[in-house]
Amino acid sequence: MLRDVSVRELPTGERMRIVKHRYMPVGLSETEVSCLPRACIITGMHGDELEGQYVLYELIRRLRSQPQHLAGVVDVYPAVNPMGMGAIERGIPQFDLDMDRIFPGSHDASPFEAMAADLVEDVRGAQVAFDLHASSIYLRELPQIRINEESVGCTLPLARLANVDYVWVHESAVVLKGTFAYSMNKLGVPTLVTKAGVGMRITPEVGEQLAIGILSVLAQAGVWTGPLPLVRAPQVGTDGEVSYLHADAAGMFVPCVTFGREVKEGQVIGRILDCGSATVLQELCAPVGGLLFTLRAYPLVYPGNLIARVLGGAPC
Amino acid sequence: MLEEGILSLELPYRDPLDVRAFSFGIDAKGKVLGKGADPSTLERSLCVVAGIRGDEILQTLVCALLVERLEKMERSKALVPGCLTRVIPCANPASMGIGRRFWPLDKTDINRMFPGSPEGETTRRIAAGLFAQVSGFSYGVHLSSFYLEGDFIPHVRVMHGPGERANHGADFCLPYVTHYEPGSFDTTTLHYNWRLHGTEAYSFYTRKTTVADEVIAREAVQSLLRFMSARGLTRQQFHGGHRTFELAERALVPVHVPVGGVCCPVVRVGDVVGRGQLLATVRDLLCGHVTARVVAPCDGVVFYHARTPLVNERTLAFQIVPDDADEVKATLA
Repeated sequence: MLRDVSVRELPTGERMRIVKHRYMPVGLSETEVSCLPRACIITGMHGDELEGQYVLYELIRRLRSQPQHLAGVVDVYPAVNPMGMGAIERGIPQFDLDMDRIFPGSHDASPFEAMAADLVEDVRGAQVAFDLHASSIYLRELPQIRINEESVGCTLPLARLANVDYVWVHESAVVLKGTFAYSMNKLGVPTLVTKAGVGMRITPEVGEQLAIGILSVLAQAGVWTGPLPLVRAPQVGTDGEVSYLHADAAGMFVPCVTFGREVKEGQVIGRILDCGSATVLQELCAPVGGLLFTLRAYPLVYPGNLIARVLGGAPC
Repeated sequence: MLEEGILSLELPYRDPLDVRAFSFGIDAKGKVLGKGADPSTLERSLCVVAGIRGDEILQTLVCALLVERLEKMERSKALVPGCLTRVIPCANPASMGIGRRFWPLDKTDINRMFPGSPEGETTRRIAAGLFAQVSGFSYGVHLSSFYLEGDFIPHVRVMHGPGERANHGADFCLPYVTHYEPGSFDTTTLHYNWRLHGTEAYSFYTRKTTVADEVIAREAVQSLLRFMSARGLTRQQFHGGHRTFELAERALVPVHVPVGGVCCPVVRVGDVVGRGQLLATVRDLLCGHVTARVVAPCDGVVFYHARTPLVNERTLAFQIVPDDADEVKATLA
C-alpha cells in the first residue's frame, strides 16, 4: 500500500513527494493494525547513497515471501529526499542544507524543513526505526550502526541484533542534533543509523546482511515472527577506539590491503601516487592493529582526505 | 486552445516527466484544430519552444505570457483560420523543477541531442520525442540561452546552412539580427535540425535568462506577435519595435579581461561607449587591488555582458557592436 507522507508543489507543477509503502498482516484493516507494533525504515536521506535501496529490496522480498509471519506494521520510506535521489545528489536540490541536519523540521521555514517535520510526525509512535545510509562516493564502510551515548540504553541492545560488523557509540559532544535519528530518539522511538558500502553504488552482500539484521530487530520488536538466521556479534567501540589515517599528499590513492579485514600496526594500507612521474608520494601505514572498517574508495585525494579508519585504538 | 501532454518519461523517485504544449488555431470552417493536427498539411504554422534547459526561466515566462495572449486573441478571432501556433513553454520541467540547467542525472544538454534517438540515452530519447512534436512547422522559434552566463541586447540569431530558405529575422523588430555559420556542435541543436527538416528557424535571445522579469518578457511576447503578424498568422497588427540592424556574429568585437579576479562592470548592455572608455575594473579577490582596467577597444554599443562576478584570465566580459557600420555590413556579404 503506497501513500503520501509529505507533498509540496514545485514551480513547474510537479509535486515533490515523500512516500511510504506499508506492509501489514494479511486480512487486517488499518483500524485493526493501529494497535500493533510498528517499525519504520527510511532511506534516501542523501540522494547519492543507494545501498539502502537494495536493503529494502532484500527485506521486503523476505516479508512478502512469508506474510503469515508479519505480526505488526512495517512502513518503508524509500526516498525521503526524492529530488536528491532523482538527481544523484547528496543534498536537496535548490537547498543548501544537508537534509540530515534540519530535523525535527519546521512548518515555519522552507518547504524542505516542513517535509522533514511531516516525516517526523509520520514516524512518531513507532516501536523502532532505521535510517539506512551508505557512505559517500569517497569511502567504503563495513556495515555498521552508529548510535549516540545518550540513547545507548535503548538502542545498543537492538544494534547488537542488527547483524552488523561494528557498532560505533558516539560521545554526546560529537552528536549532531539536527539528525533524524537524534530527533526520533528524543521522541522515544529507538532509531538505529546504519552506514554501509559506498556512495552511488549497490553492494548486494551489504543489502543481504542488513536485511537479515533488520528482520532480527523486527522480531525483537514483535513485528516479525518468522525464522531467522544467526546474526553476527558486532564489535562495539567508542570514539576513542577508532584510529584515523589521512592523506598528506595530493594524488591518486591505490590501496594494497583487503577491505574489512584485520590489519597489523605499521602494515601498508596503500600509496598515493603521482602517476605521471611514476612516483610514490606517500606510503600510508596502519596507525594501529585492528579492524579496517573504512577505506578510501575514490582514488583522487587532497592532503587531509580520510584514507582509512581502524578499530583498535586505545579506549579513552 | 488545446493543452496536451506531448512527452512523458518515467523518472526515478519523482513524478514522470510531463511536457505540455498549447495549440491555437481553427480551420477554415471555424473548428478548433484538434489533437494531432499535422502542421505540415497547413498553409502556415508556428512552433515556439522554451525551457529546454532548466534555468531558462525568462524564456519560459515569455511563452507563458504568449499562451495567455493567444488565448485572448483566439477568443477575439484575431488568429487567421487555417494556421496553427503551438507553444511549448517548458520542454525540460524535470530540470527546471529542481533548478538545474542540464539533465538532473548525467548533466547532459538536451539541446545538444537533436534530432535524438528513441533507443538512445535518456536525453536523446527526450530530444527525439520532442522533435517529433515540433517537426513539420513552417516556422520555428527557439527561445534559447547562451552557453556563457550573461545578458544580451534582445536579438534573433539566424543560422546559415542546411535548409535555409528565407531570412525574415527582421520581422521580429528586435534591435539586432545576428548571422552565424554553424559549428560542429551546432548540428545537434533544435535550430539546426529544424532547418535541416525544412522549418524556417530562429533562435530568440532575451535580455536575461534566470530571472522572472515580466517587463522584459512582455517585450519579447510583443516581438513574437509582430513576427506572427508579419508572417500572416494573425490579422492583428502590433506596433512598436526596432528598425533591426543585421550583422554577422564575427563582427562583434570581443572584450576579454586580462587577469582573473572580481569583475566590477561600470556599463550595461545597450550602453553606447567610446573607444578607450572604462567598461569594468578587475580587482584582486583577496586584497581588493585593481589589477586591470577593461576599456572599450572601439566606439559602439555593448551587446553582451558576462554576469559572473568572478572571472578567469581571458573571460569574455563584453561584446561590442562597432559603430563602423560599413565594416560590419561588409562581414555579412
